[in-house]
Amino acid sequence: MVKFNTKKSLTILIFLSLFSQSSHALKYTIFTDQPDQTKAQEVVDEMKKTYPFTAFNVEFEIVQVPSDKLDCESKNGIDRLVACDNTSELTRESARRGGDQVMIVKKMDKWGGSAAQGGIPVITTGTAARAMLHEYMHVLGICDEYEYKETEADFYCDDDIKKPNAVAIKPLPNGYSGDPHARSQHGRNIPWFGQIKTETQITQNSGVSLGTGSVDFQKLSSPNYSDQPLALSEPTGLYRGKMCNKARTPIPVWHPGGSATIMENTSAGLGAPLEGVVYEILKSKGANRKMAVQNVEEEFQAVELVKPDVAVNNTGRNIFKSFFDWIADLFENISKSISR
Amino acid sequence: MKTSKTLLFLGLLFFQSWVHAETLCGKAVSLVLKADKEANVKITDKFILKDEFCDTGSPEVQSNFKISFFDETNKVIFEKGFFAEQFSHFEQFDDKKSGKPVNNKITKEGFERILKIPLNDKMKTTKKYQITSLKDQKTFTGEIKW
Repeated sequence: MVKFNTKKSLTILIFLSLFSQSSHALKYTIFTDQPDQTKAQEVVDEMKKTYPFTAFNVEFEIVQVPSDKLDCESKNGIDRLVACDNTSELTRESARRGGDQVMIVKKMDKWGGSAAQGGIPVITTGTAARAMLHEYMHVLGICDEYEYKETEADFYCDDDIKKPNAVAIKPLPNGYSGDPHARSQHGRNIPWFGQIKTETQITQNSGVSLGTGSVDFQKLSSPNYSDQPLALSEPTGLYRGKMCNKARTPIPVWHPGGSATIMENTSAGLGAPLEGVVYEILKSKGANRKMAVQNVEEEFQAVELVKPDVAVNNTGRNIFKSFFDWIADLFENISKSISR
Repeated sequence: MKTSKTLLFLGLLFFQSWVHAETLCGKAVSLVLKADKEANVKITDKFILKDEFCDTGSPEVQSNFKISFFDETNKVIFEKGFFAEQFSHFEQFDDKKSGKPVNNKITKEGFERILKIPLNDKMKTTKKYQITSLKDQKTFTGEIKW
């Protein structure tokens, strides 16, 4: 006869409940008027296999709607630039379904139209599925890395640009007396400064000129279809970009990686630095990480992003507010040890 | 040995209830937040879902707004920093397969997003919410009913 040890069982159950929490998979609701939904499915397939989405529990729901419910057309005076007018109703519908993010795929044979419109990424059926990733990056606060034409550069560019993947910094007119000088001058303004290793120079010409180098836009970061972050092809540093070169007063903009990313060309991957940024953003949105083996380097996790100046009243929370994150890290470390 | 096991058992029981008290858990509520061009943000809808949802209290990365919920004594019951992109980007690519943008238009039109929060007994006592823009401290206050 099997003896049932009540105390032991209860202890185990309580112990297990410590590690349990309501699972929150990030849920994307894709509204489309394409009858066979192929483009929407391509988007799902693309996102599901792209790191860092592979590191989290993400769900997708494709919702078929009539075209007039999307109410999208070419707008802003430029053919192929698509905009949709019924986003409020779609957002409500997604919220009702438990979604966290609305996406739209519009049946439109005109190619190359996409948007990150008021928090909602939109592509047409004539656009590559990866364009949805690019637009979603905008929704997460990531900015473009291609060169803006003069009108858009004048509208968007200013000295305050400070995004997870871009920062506007005007080099000192008389140069620097060395790398430490440049670091002391600009370090606190670089959102990814914590990821720049001490041995990586943020200056050139014997420490006089600012910049680890310039972004090589001919070199595309590879799309990463694994559940691991990309190995760094070059060190995270301060690389001169071109986004605001055509502003009336050109503004130097810098990026963390030296290769072209999806924010310059949707055929490219996110690149290692941007992968780390997006990983942290998704985590901060409450997405549950998969408990699979991950070799997430600490440098990708400790991203020193723009810190919110918010005094959050975590009523009743203090040292345990990240308890479940600690538990998740514990399991990851155990898994890493076993895999070694 | 029996005493130590009992103490361990009781300790775990206490620890577990303490931990769950510190992390806010309750029914998931999807808030629909809408902002106009001037970034005046308000809740335009809310849906109480069947799922349980826990919030660890950390603000979202890059938070540029925060939402606070107050009870009738004006005490903050819950607060959450969140991010919303205020620019809209419209882009055109050069061909159907590759994706080098060849034209774009940027506007500032307002935004909409969904934010999930937990609804527990304490949250149900809240009567008012306030959304603050962290950049310029502009606020919008509204009533909330659960």
